[in-house]
Amino acid sequence: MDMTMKRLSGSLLPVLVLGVMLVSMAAHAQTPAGTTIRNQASATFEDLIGNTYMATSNEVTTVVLPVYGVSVLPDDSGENPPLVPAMSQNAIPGQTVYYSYMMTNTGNDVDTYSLEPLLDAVNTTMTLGIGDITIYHDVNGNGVLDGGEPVISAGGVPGNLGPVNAGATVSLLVSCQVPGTASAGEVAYVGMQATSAGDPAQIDTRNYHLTTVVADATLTASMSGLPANVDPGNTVTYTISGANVGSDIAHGVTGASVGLTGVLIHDILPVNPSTSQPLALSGAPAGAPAGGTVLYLPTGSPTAGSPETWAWSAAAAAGDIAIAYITNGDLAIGQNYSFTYDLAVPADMPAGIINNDGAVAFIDNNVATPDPTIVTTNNTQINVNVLADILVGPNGVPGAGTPPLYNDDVQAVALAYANTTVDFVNTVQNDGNAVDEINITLNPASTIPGGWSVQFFRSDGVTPLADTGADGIPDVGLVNPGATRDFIVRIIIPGAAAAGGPYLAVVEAISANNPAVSNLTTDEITQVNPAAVDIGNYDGVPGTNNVPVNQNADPGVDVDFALDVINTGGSIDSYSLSSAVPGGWTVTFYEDTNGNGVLDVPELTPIASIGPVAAGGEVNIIARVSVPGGEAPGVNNTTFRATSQNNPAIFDEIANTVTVNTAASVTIVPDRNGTATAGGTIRYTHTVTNTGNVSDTFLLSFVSSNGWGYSFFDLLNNPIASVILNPGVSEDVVVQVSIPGGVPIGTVETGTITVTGQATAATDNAIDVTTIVAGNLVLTKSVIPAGNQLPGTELTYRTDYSNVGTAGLTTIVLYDAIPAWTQYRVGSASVGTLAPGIVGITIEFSDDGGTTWVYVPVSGGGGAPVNFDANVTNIRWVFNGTLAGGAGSVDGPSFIARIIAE
Amino acid sequence: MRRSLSAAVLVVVLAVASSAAFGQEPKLVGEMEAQKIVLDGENHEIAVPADRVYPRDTVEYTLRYRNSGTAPASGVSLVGPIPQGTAFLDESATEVRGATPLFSIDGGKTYREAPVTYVVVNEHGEREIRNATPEMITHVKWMINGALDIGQELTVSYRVQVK
Repeated sequence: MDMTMKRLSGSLLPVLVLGVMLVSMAAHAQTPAGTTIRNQASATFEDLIGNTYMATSNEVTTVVLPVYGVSVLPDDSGENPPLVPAMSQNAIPGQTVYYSYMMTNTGNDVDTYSLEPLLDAVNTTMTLGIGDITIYHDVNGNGVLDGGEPVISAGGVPGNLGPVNAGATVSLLVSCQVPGTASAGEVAYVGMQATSAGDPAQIDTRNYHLTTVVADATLTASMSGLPANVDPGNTVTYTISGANVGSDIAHGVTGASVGLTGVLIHDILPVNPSTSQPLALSGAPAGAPAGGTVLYLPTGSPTAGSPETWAWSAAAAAGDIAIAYITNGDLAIGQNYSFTYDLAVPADMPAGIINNDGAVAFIDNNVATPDPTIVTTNNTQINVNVLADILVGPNGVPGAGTPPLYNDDVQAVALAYANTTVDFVNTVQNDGNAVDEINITLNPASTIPGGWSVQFFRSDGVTPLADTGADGIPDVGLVNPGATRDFIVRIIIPGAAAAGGPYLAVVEAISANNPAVSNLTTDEITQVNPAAVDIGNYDGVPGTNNVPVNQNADPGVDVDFALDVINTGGSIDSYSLSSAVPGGWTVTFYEDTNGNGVLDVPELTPIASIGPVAAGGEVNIIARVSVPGGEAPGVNNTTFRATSQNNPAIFDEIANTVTVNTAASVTIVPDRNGTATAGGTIRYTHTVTNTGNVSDTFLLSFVSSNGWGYSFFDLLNNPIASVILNPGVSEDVVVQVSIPGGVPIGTVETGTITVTGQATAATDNAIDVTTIVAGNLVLTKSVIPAGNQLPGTELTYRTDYSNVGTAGLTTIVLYDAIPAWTQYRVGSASVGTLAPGIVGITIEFSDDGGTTWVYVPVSGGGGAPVNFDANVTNIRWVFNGTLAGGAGSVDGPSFIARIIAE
Repeated sequence: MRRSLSAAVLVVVLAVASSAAFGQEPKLVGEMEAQKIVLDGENHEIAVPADRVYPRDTVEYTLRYRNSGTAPASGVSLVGPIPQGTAFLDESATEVRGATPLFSIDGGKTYREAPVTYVVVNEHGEREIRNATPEMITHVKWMINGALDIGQELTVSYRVQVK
């Protein structure tokens, strides 16, 4: 058959070959009916990083059904009449003859048999009917009908015998009486058949024996063995006995080797199947009638031919293969004989049946028949009891341990790690004398912690021990006497296992033949090391640097710590990453995949854990620490922790530090401008902010373009020279400019206001521009649109004026500058609506910052876009007329400037 | 007496695949089926359930393994034991993906390709190499070439005869 061919359930495929095994298996004992055949497949496989996994299949079970069979022995040779009868006996008229048969249940289940006698009437010359034949159950198997042994079939009516266990053999006696009127030479062919009740097609028939009527000596012969059930190491007493039930003297044979003549009662001794040696004689054999001699057949002697020709010896020797008793002369009519001897059943004798039969040899008085006449006894069966004995021990040493219990043997693994599996190979030996199914259990003396797992596997390491015996306990299967079987005790240590030990798996092997018989062995894990991890600073080589590292940083910047994480445990593990940093700080972890200690662009994916890391393996990570802006200078603890995911109680830390640099900084905003009159004052409000990370006293100072006087106040109008600010704190200060009297109108004062940290020298300044105007002219400047604007936006600046005094103001000139980053829109300058008293306003342009006022704007001037002129720097409106006291504009002069966009 | 035999211990330390937190991993799910092989009137084989059998019946064990995990499995080995009460039927183990079945006669400790041989020392003290009989087979094993991808399935079978 092409075995690569895929077979499908229910599909039909031609059968070419399948039968060779059927023949070879026929000789083997059948599997008992009701046996459950269990099978379970297993698979091992790996993932991409080499982790090994195992998967077992479901268990399939198949129950063995009963088959029936019967065998009756001995058989005849099959002809009518048989050339070789099953057995033959001579008998005198009126003698009752007994023939021993052995019937065996050759099926695999208990069965009952119908027994009935057979008579070959055609070839039987004796006057005998089927109803004259009786079948008995020879309960003790001694070949003799004893009191109480039951009749199975009588009067030719079949009878039942059973139940008989599978494989068991029972002894039968088939009996009939030779008619008293029979004449010498008459014969009878009597047989029997047995029919299975479980399967009536199973019949063993014929088994014809031959009884010949003689007028001569006739000896009966039977063998008994006691006890019927014997333990190895004890003795069995066999007795061969009989009598001359014939009508003439039984003469002796002459044992040539010893020169003695007498009736020779003999037995070829049964053998121990485990050694093929004959069972040894024990004690003193005794024969009757007295006066005879016990003979022994030395080892190696042939046993062919007639027994008187064998090399008998009067002296016993070790290894004798047969024993005999030769009477002193003839056996008279009616005289009994017997021969009793003991055989020692060896201690290593397998459980089972000892078959034995004997024979007696004599010479009859009929010269026409061959001599000697040999009468064979029944077969005697002695049952050797099952003695269970189990040894279990470390691999290959099932007998380890201290006698007599052998329970204290230990095999140890010095060190194992959490999240690993330890396999112990144990070997069990059947030291009993019968096939035994050895159960395996974990003895309560074990000290395996909760949460661990102990599993039993066949020696292949993948197939769990099955409960082949269906007794609720897994077993190693049937083990022959003396044979060993390896099995594996697998201890699975969970990832969360703590340090400790020793841990003992006390394994008990228990005989199924006798559950009181067991043996212990101990598989010890001396020490378990838990998951372990070492996190330290990057050192660029295997191992790590556990010395804390400090890094200096300014507030508001990130600091990277390159770290190593090493799996110092014994099994693969992953690690959660965490940190302890000051409040407001953040830490982000990244895997440093190329292990260069630097966070590279491809590595910018944040991680919360790292792994799996093989035992002993090292990975590199980066901890990026974000220092908040304004953080105070000083040393800050930044501790990084890696926590085992196998065992969250296991972690390691590296306690690094970040020293925040001193970073002094201050701002004063905004720049201001305004108008004032000669001899007057003007105040500007500024905000001073400590934008550094240290407190300081910030001194206020000024530089005046005209050498004028400035003074500083707080918002409560108290004079101040400085402000004290903590980091991040602001305070408003008021700058007052004092304009000397007599300053010409139009004078422009530029004041540079400076704040300077007294301790840190951090500094900033603001510019206040003050234009001197006449009297009480107050200018109000506005812009539309207000607020932040995009480049390209056109801004309309308008300045309204009013006379807050009471006297009229004349010779008013209004000055304005084109703001930086803007360009004047040609034609946009407007006089607005003239206030009362003003009769006209002339607009003039300067292209030189107000030095001259003769420029005429042109579209595109100074490289500006069409309609704009970049050359215009200042505009002035020259008023004609008198602005009355209290008068002012509501639509003052204006112009448009565009934010440069190019 | 406490006898330490640590030197004789065979220790197998397997990395236990830890936790789903690691994400992708292969997972093989196996199924075994037992079917009785009988002949119909035309001498064709029919597979019927093998819940119950008679001595000398032929039972076919079919192993189906499927990768129902989230990653390919490599180094896949499938093992089918010969259960107690049965004997392996020669040449009944199928091939799969070019993997020739391997056989063990020592309870699964070692595997060889057929024909499996073993050495005995005869009565003359000479070493003699003998071929193992099918009845000596204790396990059949297939070592699969290549990876078993996600969702892929393997099927192998072998036959035994009930003793």
